[in-house]
Amino acid sequence: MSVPLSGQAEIGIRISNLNFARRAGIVDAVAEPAPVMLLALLSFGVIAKESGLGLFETIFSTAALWALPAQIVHAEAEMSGRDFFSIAMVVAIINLRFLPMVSSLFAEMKLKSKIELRDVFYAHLITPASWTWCMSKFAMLPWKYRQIYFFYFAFTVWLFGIAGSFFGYVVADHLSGPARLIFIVIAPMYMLLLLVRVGGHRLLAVVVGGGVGYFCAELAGEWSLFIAAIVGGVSSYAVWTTGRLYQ
Amino acid sequence: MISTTLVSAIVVTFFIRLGGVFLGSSLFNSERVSELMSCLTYAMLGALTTQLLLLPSSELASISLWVRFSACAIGALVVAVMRWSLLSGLFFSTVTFTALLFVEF
Repeated sequence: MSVPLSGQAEIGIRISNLNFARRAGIVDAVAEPAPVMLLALLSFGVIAKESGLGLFETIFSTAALWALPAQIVHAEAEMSGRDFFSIAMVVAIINLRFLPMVSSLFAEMKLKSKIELRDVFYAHLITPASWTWCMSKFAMLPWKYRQIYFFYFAFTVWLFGIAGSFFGYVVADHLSGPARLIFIVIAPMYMLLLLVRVGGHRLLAVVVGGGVGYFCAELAGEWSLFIAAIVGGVSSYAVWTTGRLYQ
Repeated sequence: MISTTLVSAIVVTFFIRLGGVFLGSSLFNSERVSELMSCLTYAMLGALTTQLLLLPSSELASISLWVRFSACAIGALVVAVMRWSLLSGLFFSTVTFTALLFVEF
């Protein structure tokens, strides 16, 4: 009689060599996050065209910046004629979230502490959606396959994102107002759903961070994200530490 | 032609990500600090997502808060409570948003 395997064991067997890890990364990306990013970046293509960016600049913005909120801020600031220093400042504040994102994901997937050139490209491919996806997926993946899985997963999402901004730019003139609003809401909605799926003390971080971020936004502006990160993150970490003490 | 503003945004973002690479390498084998960084990131993403959906600066701001909130609540209910897939959650929240959008207009 065969013993049923737990989900973790099944995945451990399925991803038992590098080829499987590569394929799993691509298949997982195409199954869900990549089409969602394609739709989300469609809205950016539309916004970019309305802001007066060229097609090449729109695609280059997605490929090289690869951070949707910052891309939208840049496109809108370009239209309002803000200088490059103020745009750089706003982008820096918005994108400071990549600092803990990149560091925590690297701590979960690197086999050695030595920094390699390809790590810089890996860091470039990280988005909130791929971070959240991989952080939950890594718990079920053998350590040695995480890096290769991440690369094929995130690279596929990146390619779909570039395609999305291209198509958005091309079809911009044909999209009505409500259709544009639907495309705009898809990316943050998907992020929300990824976040509510996490469990335990991490869900506490999401809930407290979300609440603090909402109520502090008026008072603290862009800095509200950092206040929310500290309040939500530290309280969740305290719960995790206390839980370990009693184990 | 690529504008200087775009180049400045790309350079700033590159250095922030590079900082993350160095920080991540120094966190190697440090479970506690790595977990703290994860908690900080989850909280920051929670705040960012809340602000993008409930306090948007884009044209989404022209839609009533109750429309956006209802769509979020339906999606979260499907994924977190009913334990259906992410795509189901996204489908139901988008359908709710679209339906309420037409009710509002």
